[in-house]
Amino acid sequence: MTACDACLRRTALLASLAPHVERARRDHRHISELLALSDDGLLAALAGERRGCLQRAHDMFDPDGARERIAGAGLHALCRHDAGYPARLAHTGDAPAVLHVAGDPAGLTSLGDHDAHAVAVVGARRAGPDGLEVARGLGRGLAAAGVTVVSGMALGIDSAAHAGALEVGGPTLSVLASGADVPYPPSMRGLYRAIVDTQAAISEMPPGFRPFRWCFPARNRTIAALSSLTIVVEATERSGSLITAELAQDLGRAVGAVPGPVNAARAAGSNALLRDGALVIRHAQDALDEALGIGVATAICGRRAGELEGPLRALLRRVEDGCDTVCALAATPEEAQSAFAGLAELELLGFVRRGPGGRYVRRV
Amino acid sequence: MDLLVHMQRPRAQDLEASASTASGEVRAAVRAARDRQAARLAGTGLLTNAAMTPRLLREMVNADAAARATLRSSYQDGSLSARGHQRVLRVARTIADLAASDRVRAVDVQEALSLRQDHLQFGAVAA
Repeated sequence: MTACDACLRRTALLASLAPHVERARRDHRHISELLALSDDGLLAALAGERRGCLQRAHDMFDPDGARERIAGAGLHALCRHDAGYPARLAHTGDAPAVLHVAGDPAGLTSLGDHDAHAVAVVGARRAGPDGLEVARGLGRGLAAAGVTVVSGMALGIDSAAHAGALEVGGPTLSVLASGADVPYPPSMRGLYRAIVDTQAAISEMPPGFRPFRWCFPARNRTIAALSSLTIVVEATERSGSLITAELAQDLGRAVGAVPGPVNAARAAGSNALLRDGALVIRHAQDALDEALGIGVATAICGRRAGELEGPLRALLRRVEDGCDTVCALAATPEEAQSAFAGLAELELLGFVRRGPGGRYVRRV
Repeated sequence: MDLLVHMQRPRAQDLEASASTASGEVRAAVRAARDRQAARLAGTGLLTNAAMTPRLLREMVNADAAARATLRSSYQDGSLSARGHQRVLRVARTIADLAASDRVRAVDVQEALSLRQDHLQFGAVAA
């Protein structure tokens, strides 16, 4: 598990050119075209009048210093020339020169062979409670069958998918736009810790790096390339997760989407993917059938309403029908009391989950 | 903080409707509940459930077997912290007082659980 001098130099160059790449992004240059350029090509395309200065820094690059910084940050590094570099990723034209790994490097190198299964679950940051629950269910079902759940640790769908995988003890891999030692977004610090302890968080950027906007679509190409199937759970029409889906498609990988309400803007992008022929993913079983082959693995299922007795069953029906708050379920304080009690019981039995805003969602 | 409850904006028709409970009735129920608490705590120098120490709570909660089982399963599935466990029991005791019940029953514990939006480990994933 090593990184060679040339690949470390490339990483340092990309980090020092990061503000220039950002400017190019604003001028509508394609990020993946830029990332496919050679070191000299990058300098020529981006550095402008600072070229001489950046070129000198590039020539004087100290690889051992970089290795020390990586070790000092508690990370491991492996480059494209290392046998452990994931094969699916290595075969793409603009693959990251170096992968910095927080956590167990074996968790990443295990993705190296083609029969190790990884599925990306991505989607909107501002997702609805149903979308979050679906993402969590996908994470849980895929991980329970031994499939690595790959995502970007963003708010909303990404972190829900990670959290679902962690519920069953992983595996789940997070690809960050920041350095691999920088939990981004910072509010996901707890999730980051759990992912690193279970498997790994990785990044192509050096330790301590703070992300620019271009780093997110760049990170998405790694998510798409690591995975044999990319599933978009919820996405608006201009969502970054559609970029991930497009990149996956360009690589010839399978793309799936979870259907959402046709009148909801938050699902417009994912529904458009389905219209264009993406696989319909309703639950973890659909994802497993696609990733592993039909019937190879059976997803763990949610509880069936038939197990419940009368009043609780009726309450669950009403939650499923969209009465998802106590206010909607009860008109009087007496009714509220029994609704509170019933919802707590359904929650304990694993039928519903309390989502954001005090809304109850049917667990999948 | 013992109660953590998300509130939704009332709908227009809720504002137009007449109040579903009279403040006077609520006041009477709260008075009666506080009287029960004070009577139970006689000799301890305390007046309310809120003031009970964890030990007093254990001695005085008088929860039935079903109530304890409900609380236990919620604690075991990880949705409740040790501190949350105490709080839920305390709130359940108060709910039972409001219902004029000497025993804390399973429904009281269930209601108390719903009134506690524990920050589950990764519960707050939404934007």
